[in-house]
Amino acid sequence: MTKHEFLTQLQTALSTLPREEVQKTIDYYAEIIDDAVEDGGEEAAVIANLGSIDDIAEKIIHDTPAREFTLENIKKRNWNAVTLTLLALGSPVWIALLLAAAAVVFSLYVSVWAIVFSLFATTAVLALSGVTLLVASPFLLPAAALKAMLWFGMALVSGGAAIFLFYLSAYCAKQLVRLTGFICRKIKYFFMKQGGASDEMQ
Amino acid sequence: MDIQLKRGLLEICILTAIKQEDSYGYKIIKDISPYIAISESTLYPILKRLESSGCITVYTVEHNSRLRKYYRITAAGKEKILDFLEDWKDVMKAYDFIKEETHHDET
Repeated sequence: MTKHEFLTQLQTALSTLPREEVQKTIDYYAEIIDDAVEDGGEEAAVIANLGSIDDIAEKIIHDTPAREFTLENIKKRNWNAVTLTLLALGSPVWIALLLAAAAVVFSLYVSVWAIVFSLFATTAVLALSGVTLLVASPFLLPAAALKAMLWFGMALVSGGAAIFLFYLSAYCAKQLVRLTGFICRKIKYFFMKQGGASDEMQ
Repeated sequence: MDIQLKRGLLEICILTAIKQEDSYGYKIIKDISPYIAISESTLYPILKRLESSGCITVYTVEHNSRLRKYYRITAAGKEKILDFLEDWKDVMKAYDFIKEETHHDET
């Protein structure tokens, strides 16, 4: 491959980048090749040594903040009048759809919390009835011993169920908090990657 | 070698290579490759980063009727080398400890 071929192919491979960035890269590689040839290297060998164009381009694209080439791509996409008009005219539809989608996601999240909340509420009711029955049963003792025993048994069952349910609902709440944290981290990472792609190593 | 560690080392090596006198891409690679592996495609993004963080400045010189970019170290760049040397005193201390202990285990 000649220097000219190499640089032309590199330019094509980098076409999603801002023009200024492409020019700088081309200048850099042209200079490296010229210097290596001047140092006694053979052009074809020097170029072969640089590695594959795809690898080089991938490194540079990875190293450029997403923001930069998103802007460049928007510029290159030629938003013509028709597209923009359609976008504007369509806005009552797509904005509404977007909001609806967000609302659905939000309500799903809230309803999951509602389930956990109702688990806690059930626990509280069972615990309360257990305690009430336990306290009330001795008062029945002289008059209705059987009834008192029944109430006492029910108190123990409620208490046991309350303890079990408490652990279950605490576990659910914990998992949900973890899930929330996980989702938040994912969202944050997504935005950080968009803004700070340049911080990553090639 | 760990990728972050290598990146940090390369930055300091490049700064060191241009500390005495301004240098250009090809010469930087030639000067530091006996000490640490570096390729043309690795040097480029690091130079860009060093420039944007104010550790080096770039100027163009005509050479054999073509242009060549020279890189010059700034005060911030020199500071970075000194910081590196300071930080690595601790790293070397830890290194000695690890090496010593590993040696103990083997004997």
